[in-house]
Amino acid sequence: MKKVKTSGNLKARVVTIREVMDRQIPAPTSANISHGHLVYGMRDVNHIEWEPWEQDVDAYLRVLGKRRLDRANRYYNAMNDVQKLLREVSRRSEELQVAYEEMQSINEEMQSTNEELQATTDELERSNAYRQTLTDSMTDILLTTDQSGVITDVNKATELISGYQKDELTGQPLHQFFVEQDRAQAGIEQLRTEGMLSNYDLTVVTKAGREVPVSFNATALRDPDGLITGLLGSARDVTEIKKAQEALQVAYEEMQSTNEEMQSTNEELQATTDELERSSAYRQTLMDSMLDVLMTTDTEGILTEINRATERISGYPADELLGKPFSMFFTESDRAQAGIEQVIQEGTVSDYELTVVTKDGQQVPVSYNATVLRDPEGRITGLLGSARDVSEQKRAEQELQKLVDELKESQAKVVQASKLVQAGKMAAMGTMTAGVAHELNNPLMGILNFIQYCLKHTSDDDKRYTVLQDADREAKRCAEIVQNLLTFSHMEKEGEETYHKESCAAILDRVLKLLSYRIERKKVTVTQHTAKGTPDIWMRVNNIQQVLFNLINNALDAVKESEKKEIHVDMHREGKFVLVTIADSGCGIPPENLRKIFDPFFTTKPVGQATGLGLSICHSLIEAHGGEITCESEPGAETKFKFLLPIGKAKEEKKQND
Amino acid sequence: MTKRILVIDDEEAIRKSFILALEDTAYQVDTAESGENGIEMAQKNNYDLFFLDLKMPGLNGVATLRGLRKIDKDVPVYIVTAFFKEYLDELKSAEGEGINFEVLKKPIGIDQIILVTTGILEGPTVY
Repeated sequence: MKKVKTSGNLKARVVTIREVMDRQIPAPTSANISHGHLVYGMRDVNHIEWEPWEQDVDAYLRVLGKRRLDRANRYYNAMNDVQKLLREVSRRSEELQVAYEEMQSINEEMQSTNEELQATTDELERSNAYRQTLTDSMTDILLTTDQSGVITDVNKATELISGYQKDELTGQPLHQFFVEQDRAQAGIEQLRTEGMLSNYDLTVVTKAGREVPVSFNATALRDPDGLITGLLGSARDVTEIKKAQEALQVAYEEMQSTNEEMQSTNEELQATTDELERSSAYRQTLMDSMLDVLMTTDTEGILTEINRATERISGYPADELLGKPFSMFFTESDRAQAGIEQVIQEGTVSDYELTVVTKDGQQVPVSYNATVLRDPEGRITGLLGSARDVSEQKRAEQELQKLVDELKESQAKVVQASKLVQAGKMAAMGTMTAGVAHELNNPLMGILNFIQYCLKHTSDDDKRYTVLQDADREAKRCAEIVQNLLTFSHMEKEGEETYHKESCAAILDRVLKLLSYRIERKKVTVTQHTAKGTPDIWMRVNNIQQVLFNLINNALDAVKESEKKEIHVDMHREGKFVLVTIADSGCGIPPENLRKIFDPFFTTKPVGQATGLGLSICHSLIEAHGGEITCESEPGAETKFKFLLPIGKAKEEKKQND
Repeated sequence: MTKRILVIDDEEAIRKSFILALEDTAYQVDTAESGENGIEMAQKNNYDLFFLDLKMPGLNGVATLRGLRKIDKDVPVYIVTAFFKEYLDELKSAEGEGINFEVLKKPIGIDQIILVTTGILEGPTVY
């Protein structure tokens, strides 16, 4: 930004629009806007040494200010001359030719003055457009009036600060909204005569009667002929910055007197320059008073402007930031660069999270909002970004996450605990059942033999014969129950068969044959599907046969009363397991029972028809195989029992290794 | 000569079951209510078949089996059990030592008792 471009004989000064704004450097006579920079033509002042910059500006301002004053004086003088001439023309037609010639030259001068004025006005408008993007985030008042000071337009901030709606403001004389109405009127007058008003302090009376001190900057809007058509004013609520306001007040007064004296002396121009610098400092104060990071970059993501918060948060002083790629100050520079590209493509980003690496190596999470800056032709010239330190927010989020994790952990523990409770319950049940079953076995064998002895010695036409037959059958049923109890309690497994490789489909066929009488009698449709590639399993064949028998027998009971009597058995491989699903279209299991169905002695069947051990036995046998059995049910619609069996003989090998 | 059977079981119901079941056969059925008693009787008499309980107070079934085998290595011994886990390991190690025995699973009824007994003492019978 501090370079001098040389193009032929024309030296040009490149400054940022911001500098024009802050320092209130007069607009260039002809201007180029490029990437947020203004290029000043130096045709008229190229005799001035331009380096170093600060001195350049002063010298430049001195000369340019004087030129403008001279030009303005020339303009007013010329106007007076024209009037004099017109009077002369009316009285003295013989001097018309002379007057016409003078007018010609004056017109030429006027033309060039007008062009300059137009350029100035255009620039001011461009400058204001840029100002708009910047000041929107700073909630500045922006308003326009006609040449007599009647409000023609206001921005949202004006409504917010004054408390009046836009339609209550437009059409009203501007000065009546201030405590100092006369001073406001005087300001408007000053604007009309001088074309410009800086840091003009007034006090707005809001609709609610509150007084808000504001600082006005204003310029005259002119038509192409150089006539004032209206005024453009911007004002800032300076309540919060009393100190700055007071400084500004002093500055204003100084500027007032300086302006009056400025007509003739360079000394006074110097004073104005000082004031302008103070004003720039004031603006910097405003920007720096923001707690959030505020920065601009060019389209490549090179930092062009920053505020103090940027320095504070990053730990880098401004001169180590400016001119550097934005992305190099973050842990994820790719993501930072992607953010810039996203802003350029989409025009804006919100809540874009990045992590700043500070100069001392700390990491600070920040959340960015950013928008593109455009020149009046709509070309993107750069980016304006604001960011907020979200460390606290992050910490809160992390704590929340920790709590969630802890909660999940305790949930898992609860699930684990309930599994242990279930396992413990089963183990206790098993032990008790085994004990009971064994105690019953001996007397049962006695009863069985005593009945059979009686039966053997009773004639079959004796009426006691059938009663003894009944007793024999019931005793055998007792023996069966005791057998089931022992199976359930595992107490028998050591004496049982060893593992063999067998296909579930083959076992299912045997079970369906065993149950074929029941299936046919109840008119139940049993379908089965074994997926291709379902492998044989290492298992205790009788155990798995019993599981399938119990489950299909239960399914037959379930569909007994249903209209639709269907049972479907599906088998397929799932990783290192085979999944067997037995689905029935029966009455279903109420949710409150679903948890208890694998508990021993839990049954919903009438007393005497079931021991409540069938599913407990299935559970025990599947677990003994290292598998898992579950049940899903939709009451009134469907019940699915699923069991997983490991394919490999891990269980068997483990046993052999023991 | 009448073949002799000894039933060793602490449960009277079991002893009686064997007596009743084999009442009409030509075999002589003796009973002992403990392992100690059973061994003592085995020393005094020649038995052709033993039915032995596994779970007994005092000398349990496996220990009794070892005692019986000291007297006679080859006489058939049928262990009548409901597979009580506690004694199965011991039984297995006895099997590992080359001690012969057969296992009958409780409960068994009259027909099975007769079938097993005649099967052992007379050879297979087709019913």
